[in-house]
Amino acid sequence: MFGRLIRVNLGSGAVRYDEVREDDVRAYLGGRGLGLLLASRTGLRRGMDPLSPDSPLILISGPLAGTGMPLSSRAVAVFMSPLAGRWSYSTVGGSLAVIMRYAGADALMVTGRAPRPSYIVVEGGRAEVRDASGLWGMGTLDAERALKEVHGDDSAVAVIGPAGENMVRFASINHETWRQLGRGGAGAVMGSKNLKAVVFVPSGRAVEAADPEMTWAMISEMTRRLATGAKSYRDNGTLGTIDAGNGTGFFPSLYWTRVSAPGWRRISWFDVLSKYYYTGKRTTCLHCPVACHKTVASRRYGGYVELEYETAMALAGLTGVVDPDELIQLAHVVDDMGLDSITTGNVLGLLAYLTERGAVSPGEGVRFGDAARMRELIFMIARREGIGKVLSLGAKEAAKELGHPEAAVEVKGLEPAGYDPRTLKGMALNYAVAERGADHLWASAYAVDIPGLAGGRQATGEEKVRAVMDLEERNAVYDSAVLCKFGRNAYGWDELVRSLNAVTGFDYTKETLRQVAQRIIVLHRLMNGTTVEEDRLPPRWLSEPVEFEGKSYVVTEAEWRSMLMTYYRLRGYDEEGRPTKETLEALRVSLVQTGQG
Amino acid sequence: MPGLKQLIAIPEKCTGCGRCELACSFEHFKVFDPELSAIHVLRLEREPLDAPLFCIQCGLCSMEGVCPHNAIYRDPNTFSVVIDRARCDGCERCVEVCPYGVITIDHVEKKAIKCDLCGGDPACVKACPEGALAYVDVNEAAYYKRYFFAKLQEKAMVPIVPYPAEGSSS
Repeated sequence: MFGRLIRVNLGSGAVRYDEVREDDVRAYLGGRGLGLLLASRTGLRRGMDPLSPDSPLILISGPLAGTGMPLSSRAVAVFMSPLAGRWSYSTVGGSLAVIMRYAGADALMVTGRAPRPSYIVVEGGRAEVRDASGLWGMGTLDAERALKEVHGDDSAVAVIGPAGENMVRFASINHETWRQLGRGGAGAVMGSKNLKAVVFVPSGRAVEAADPEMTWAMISEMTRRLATGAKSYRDNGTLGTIDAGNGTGFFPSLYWTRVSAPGWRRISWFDVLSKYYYTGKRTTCLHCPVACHKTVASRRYGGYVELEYETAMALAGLTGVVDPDELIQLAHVVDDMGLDSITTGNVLGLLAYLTERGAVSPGEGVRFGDAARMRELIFMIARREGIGKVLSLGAKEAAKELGHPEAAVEVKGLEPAGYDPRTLKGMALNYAVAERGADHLWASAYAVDIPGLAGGRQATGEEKVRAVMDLEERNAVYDSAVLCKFGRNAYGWDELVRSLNAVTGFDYTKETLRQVAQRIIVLHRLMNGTTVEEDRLPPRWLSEPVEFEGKSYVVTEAEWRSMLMTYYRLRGYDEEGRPTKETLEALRVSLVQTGQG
Repeated sequence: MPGLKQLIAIPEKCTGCGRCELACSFEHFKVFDPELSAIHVLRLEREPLDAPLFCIQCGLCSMEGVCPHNAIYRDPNTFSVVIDRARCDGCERCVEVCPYGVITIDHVEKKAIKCDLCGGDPACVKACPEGALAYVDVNEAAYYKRYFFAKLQEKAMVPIVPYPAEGSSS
């Protein structure tokens, strides 16, 4: 069953092979839930240096991966974030979750620091540390290709670029060329360990399901449901949201001063990208029937990238570079250097915002829309050179260093993504309470806001809060099953229960699976000791209205407080935002350190 | 034989998802194991290249002198080339002979696996979400075969290369 855990200490070279207890998998599933549980048992707490040798990096798959359950090829990294200074996680698609299981590891926990550049190979259930000095310094694209030449095209590679090697606080771990464990700086944790890559080589590819016939039936049913439920992802990828965001006023632009980018029609998916840039090639994560990724090629420069919404928002909206060719090139450089594109767009936008206001000189800073200078800055960030050194700390610290902490738009140290909460009020709650920080994927509240559900985009009442909380819980299950959230219109609670039971042999009900979700959320909250102070939104969202079609939008303090207090009540937290004793007992959550970190 | 059908691929439609592999292994062995699949998906995201590869039922492996146990024969209903696994001892001669690399030895019973068209209702076709696989009349299949070989002679119109790294000339 699911639970083969390999522990590697890069300092001592010791490798340990363990089995996670079935009760833990039943209580927390895999992915985010189980990863956080394992992290909590290390006894390590906030305040420790996330880049120290003790800092753990947990790569973890889920019980569904490998069965072919649609959208189940997703893996999770759990770590102490160097950017936000709190326990965090990120997720990735591609083939990692499946191939790591085929290689014999359902979870891999890495601690320590290697004495020289190294990489880990996992094959046949065994892990080995190898020399990576020939790879150190390489961009992610070349490094992955070099590793696949050695270990085969079937292998799954998780690799950092120069940004991770230099411990840029928002460095990503890249996979399958275009995919990332992006948010929070897991790449910097790897860099701090002198760990260039982890390679999983499949040997034997069977994955067991407790009830194969039922699993096959669920696979067939979910594939059918996704044909309609995920149709828009299938047809337009996520890029169609460029048009929706700019057209209806939620597209973060010019560093959070607008909700529609001037000149955005030049990067319209429907009118421009899908016609003149899209190559027609759709690609998949393994076993996925949706195939959302779109490859776009640059006419000006040649070359192609798999482009998606958040990257377009960050590198074109926030920066003002509304030019498709320049956007493609910036995306390519960000990927090759191994950086979180969302944070990168935010820090570049911050710099342009400060330059425009005279807080940074034009020579040191950048103008909105200056693609060439932005490209140069991305390299400087990756190398931590010049002003890149300041920017490499993330928007919160960079704004402080540049003398304007009030300019930064962030929550808990993580920069927000492609949805402005002033026009999408559910996102205001989402960004406020997400444990990673201003994380759009915590509750995907935009899925409630954009179609105007639960009272409409500006609604902040209990109906909206409950709708956001339902998705918050489902996302906790998705991140632990593990499933791609693009299936949310097909994988409702009933489908989740049936799919998980068929594969794991457990006997979840809708009620007990909700409790698993709540347990995962509450454990994370407890691990970070988060309180209401950290649930505050950045001042600019409360004090700077944004205009769209003649109307003005802002998040008021009263709206924030009202949603938050409703959320705390329904989540079982006290007024300081701490889980109550009753909540912890009901969900059986506690911080028990077993010393088995 | 009127009504005879053949399995074909339309490679441009393949997204490399690999669901056909799981459908095949589940159909024949009731497990989720791509290594027990008779259809093989090549998935190279760097190129990018995604393609399904499977037996075209040419019959080379069934020729005299290949299988020492005469375990390979043509099914009279589907006209597919089938391996009688009861007689197979995993000697690998058919693996060597196959020009397309679509016969493999399974890692469980150590016997040869190849496509048998599922007796006339291929599971892979039903599992493909993109319509990249089809089980069609042999005359229609003949067109696709000609098209497929024509593609081998195609010259790319635009070289699609990744961006050069800063300062490099590659």
